[in-house]
Amino acid sequence: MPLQSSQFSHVDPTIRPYVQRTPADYINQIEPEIRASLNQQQIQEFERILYQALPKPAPKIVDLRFGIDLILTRFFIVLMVGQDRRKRPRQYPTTPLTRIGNVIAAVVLLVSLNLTISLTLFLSAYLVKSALGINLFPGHLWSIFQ
Amino acid sequence: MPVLFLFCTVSGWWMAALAIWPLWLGTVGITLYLVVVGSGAIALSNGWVMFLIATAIFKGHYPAFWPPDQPYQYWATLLLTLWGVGVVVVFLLGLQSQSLKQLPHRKRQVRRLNLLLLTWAGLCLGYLAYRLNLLT
Repeated sequence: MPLQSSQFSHVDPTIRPYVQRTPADYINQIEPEIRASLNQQQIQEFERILYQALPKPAPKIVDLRFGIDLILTRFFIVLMVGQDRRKRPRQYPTTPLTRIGNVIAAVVLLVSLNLTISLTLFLSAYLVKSALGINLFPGHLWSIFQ
Repeated sequence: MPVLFLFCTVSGWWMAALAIWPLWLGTVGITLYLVVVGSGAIALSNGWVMFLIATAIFKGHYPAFWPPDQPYQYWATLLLTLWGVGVVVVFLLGLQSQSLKQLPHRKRQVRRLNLLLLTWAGLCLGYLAYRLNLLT
């Protein structure tokens, strides 16, 4: 039977964000009469199972998230660096076509990002060098391009 | 708002002085994009600022009123400062526009239009100040 929104009317709207939830947050969402019918041992067992199922995100050294809005569509970019605590490789159910598309998109993004960062570093280093009056080569940079 | 207006005027004046004419249209478009989209436009708009600075460096745009024997350091310091000003303008405009998203539709549209007019007025004022030989 499909779930109706009215079936969740007892869910607390002020509940904590997904990654911060504890087993007790879920136990407290059980209908009060059903909750009252459970003994302490059953509740502890529920809590044990829920604890295993809850996400335990690793602490991130770098956690950079920002969005790019192209008016017609929006993208988000996430860059995370942290210790890998996963014991088994994560399985992604993808088709070969999707995998090829992902690789192409990842390469294009990485190359673009690399070029942007390299250009930013080069231009800022060149301007700082010039502002300090350091001349490594005779002439100006633009004379090379003209 | 006054800081944004001032920085837009400074940017407009120096863009006119450095004679980066074909990029004016792009700059006007980027300000429109920032006002419409908000903080989601900051990343790409910073790319545009970098493109402007890169154009000035690689094509050797130099203020016409500076004497030929002007030390090269001044030009580099000027471009570094303009880069900083450009980044500040992008962030101010993007974040200001983002804060307007909390407002009701009608009020938001009016405030957005005001923000856009303020930005364009700053750029135009800077351009006119240069063309009328003010501050040179």
